[in-house]
Amino acid sequence: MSVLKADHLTIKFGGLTAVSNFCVTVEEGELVGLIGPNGAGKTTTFNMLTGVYKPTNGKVYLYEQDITKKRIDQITALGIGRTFQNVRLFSELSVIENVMVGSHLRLKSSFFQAVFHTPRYTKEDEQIREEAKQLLSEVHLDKFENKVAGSLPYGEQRRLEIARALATKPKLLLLDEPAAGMNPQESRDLMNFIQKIQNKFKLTIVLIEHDMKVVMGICKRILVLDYGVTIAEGKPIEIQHNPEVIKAYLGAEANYA
Amino acid sequence: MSLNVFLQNLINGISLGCLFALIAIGYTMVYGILRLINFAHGDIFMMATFFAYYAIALFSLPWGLAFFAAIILTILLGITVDRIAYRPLRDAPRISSLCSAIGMSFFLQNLAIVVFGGRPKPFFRPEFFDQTFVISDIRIQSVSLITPLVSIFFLLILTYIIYRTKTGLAMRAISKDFDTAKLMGINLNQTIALTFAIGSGLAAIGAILWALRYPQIFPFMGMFPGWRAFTAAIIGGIGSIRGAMLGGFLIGLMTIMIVAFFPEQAGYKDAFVFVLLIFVLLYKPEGIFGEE
Amino acid sequence: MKKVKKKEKDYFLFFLKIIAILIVVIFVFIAQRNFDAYVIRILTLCGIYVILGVSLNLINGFTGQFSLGHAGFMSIGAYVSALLYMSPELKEVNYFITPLIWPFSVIQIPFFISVIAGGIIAALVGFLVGAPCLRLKGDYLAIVTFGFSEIIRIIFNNLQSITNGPLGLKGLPSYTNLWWSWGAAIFTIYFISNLINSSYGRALKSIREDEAAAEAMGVNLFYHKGLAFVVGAFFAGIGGALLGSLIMTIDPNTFSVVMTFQIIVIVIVGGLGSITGTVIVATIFAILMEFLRVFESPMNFFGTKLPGIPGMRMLIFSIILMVVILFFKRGLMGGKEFSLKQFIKIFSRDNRVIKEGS
Ligand SMILES: Nc1ncnc2c1ncn2[C@@H]1O[C@H](COP(=O)(O)OP(=O)(O)OP(=O)(O)O)[C@@H](O)[C@H]1O
Ligand SMILES: [Mg+2]
Repeated sequence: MSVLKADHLTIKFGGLTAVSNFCVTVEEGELVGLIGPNGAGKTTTFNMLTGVYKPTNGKVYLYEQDITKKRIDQITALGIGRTFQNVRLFSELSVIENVMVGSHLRLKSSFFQAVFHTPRYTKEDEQIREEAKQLLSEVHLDKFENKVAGSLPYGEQRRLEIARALATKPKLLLLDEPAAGMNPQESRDLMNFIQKIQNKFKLTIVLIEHDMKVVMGICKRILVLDYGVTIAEGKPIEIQHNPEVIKAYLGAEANYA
Repeated sequence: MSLNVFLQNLINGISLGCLFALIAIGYTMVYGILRLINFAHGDIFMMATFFAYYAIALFSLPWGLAFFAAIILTILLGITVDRIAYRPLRDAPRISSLCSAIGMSFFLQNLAIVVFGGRPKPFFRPEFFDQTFVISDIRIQSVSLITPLVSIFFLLILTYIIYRTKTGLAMRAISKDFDTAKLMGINLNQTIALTFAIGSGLAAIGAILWALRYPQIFPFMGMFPGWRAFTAAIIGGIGSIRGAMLGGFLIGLMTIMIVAFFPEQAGYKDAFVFVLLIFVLLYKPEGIFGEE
Repeated sequence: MKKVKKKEKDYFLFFLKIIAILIVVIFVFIAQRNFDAYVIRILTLCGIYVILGVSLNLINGFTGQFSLGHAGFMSIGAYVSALLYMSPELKEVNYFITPLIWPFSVIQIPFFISVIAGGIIAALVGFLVGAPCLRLKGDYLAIVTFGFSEIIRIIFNNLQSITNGPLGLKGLPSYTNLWWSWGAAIFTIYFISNLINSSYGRALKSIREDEAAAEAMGVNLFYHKGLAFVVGAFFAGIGGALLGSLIMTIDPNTFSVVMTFQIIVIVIVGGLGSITGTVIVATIFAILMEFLRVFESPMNFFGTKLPGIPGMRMLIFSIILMVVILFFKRGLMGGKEFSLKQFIKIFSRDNRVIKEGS
């Protein structure tokens, strides 16, 4: 059974078709890369998968269940976790609180049990805190536990965002340019880290990356978007030598110059 | 209702609508540029009437001069409010400037109570505004005729400034894209100050015409005209000057017509305005006539 | 080992809280017997402002939804409860122009239950108001909630057969005393601070920090914002009900936007997102409101009689508000809390140093 299936996802903003006919099937345990030049529609694709944008056309299936029309928080509860391209932490909350918010959707205690701190709630809250601590030590942030999230250095913030997403216990994790703003060494470390958590939590991951080189090492399969169109899909080697891809990236490079 | 009564109400409504349009411009321009609801605008409007009142009562200026002085003072007040309460918060979160605007409104109202006293004061109505014309059964006060003429005159001037001068261009540029305008070297603070000046000046003109129409002034008098004008600005699509004018007319006509057609429900006329405001914000936040 | 330590600390905290409450109870007991009516009245007002401030802070400070509707919820609490606890005779006296409609004209129930009923109806309206508005943000939400509160006021002014219109209700029995107001205030603080420190509270704060991220973490925005509105409106209703019976006269214009402004002053000056800040400032506010009355009544200044200046109190408050907004952008407490835990920390600091060293 496929974890994720996107079926001809298309979205238009006014006259602009940001993504057209995006199709992908992701199997259990895969680590898929989604690459493409600036403005190709990568983030928009993630936003359609997570319910932020409703596609103009097409459907999204999670474990063969149609989730296209579901609310964002429902989709999260069903098992899609995500991070954001520009880090979006709850910056005035403490590091551990950030992670604990991710567990709120699985809270079993009722509102009044929570407010009156009944033993059942206290126990559950204790458990949530314990889990959050474990996640934090997983991403090596345990020593920052009570720091305000906004005060962390950038790299740590990125890892905290991943920990927070993991707290929702996702089956599928969507990472939007996790290596953005990092130097090559840091990017390599991060990619190793991602592989590690993938094994540890038995995750299926889709990863957006701007820079092709970063994902070549860890993704077995890569999709390339350009102007919203999927121009290539395949093994890293194939992608690297695909003339269309080279053209898209060269074109983008030329634009920079 | 006979045609005559209807016409009389129509003229009244248009005249009131002009006043709302004049006030609404101030809301819409400031919002367009700063994304700030200038809660204090209604109170600036109120201050204008007191300036005019004291110019006549204390300095016994002739009414033309007194009104002119009041307009100038109100413009200065508007600029000062921006300088003190809003400029220091330009880079702060928007909620801070919202708090500041609420605080400023609160401050001006209480200042007025302390300085001018809380009791309503009778506003001096020069004879020129006090005549009543009778045209075959329709009785019209001269204020109701003068108001639209004066308003339309100033609204035309405003349109000219906004769409035909360099300053107007700068204003439109800032309201389109604050950051880019900054980069393009537009003098932000000066342009914003000018925006407040224009908004306050028009509010002052509206306020004086208002006081001539309803010759009682008191510290909380800015609140309802303020909210109706604000509703007008929202209906017209906030940020849009033409929209504010159209919205103003609509609100003016509506309030007059509600009272005329449903006299028993007259007590609810402000509730209607708020219902309209909420409805537009919820279902058509870009406004009915929204353009820019 | 660590677990035991924590348990010990929890018990200690619990113990401290019990002592604090005991002190308050004893204080109220002594105050109610010995203080003169004027001082008691001020202290009672303190409690009511605490209820109003803390409940508004839940919506505006912790959830980040800038509401200007508090006065509306208060007036619902005040009217609903008054309609329930006034005696039929008193109602007949009050509604001499337009009679009160049945069944309100005949019922009378105990004060406590009618206050709760006031809170519940306010909460219900809070939900009805909140539900459509919750997708609006920032200043738009502020306007819409203000609009609703004004609509409530206008309706109350016109629904003569229920509210007695602008004449208001006079001669309300004064049930509100220190016990009621401080009891309700302590319950409000207990309820809302526990809520804030629960998983629900974290969800509310996450909405304030970043709505989109909160939603992506599985927080149902509609449900949680609605929750904040309902709880806030409930306590506003309670506060309004108690205020009504304290001042003994209510009319729809008691609950105008000026009332909301006063509570906003308390919340902003105390710090959006700080319960202790709100409590401290609410108390100071109630006391200052009385002290500053001297400006508003005639004074004898070295033999010369100075006339009172009406409105001076509010002017001073608005200046304080502006100074805080402009110079202490985060309010008195800057969103932080002063808590017993910190109190303990201060005393156990050496202890901790040793522990970390070993
Ligand atoms: N809400 C929106 N309204 C209008 N246009 C949008 C919206 N969101 C995205 N777009 C447009 O869709 C296109 C794709 O944007 P997207 O953010 O998905 O690109 P991306 O591949 O993530 O690029 P980057 O590498 O810069 O992150 C862009 O042209 C963008 O301007
Ligand atoms: Mg992107």
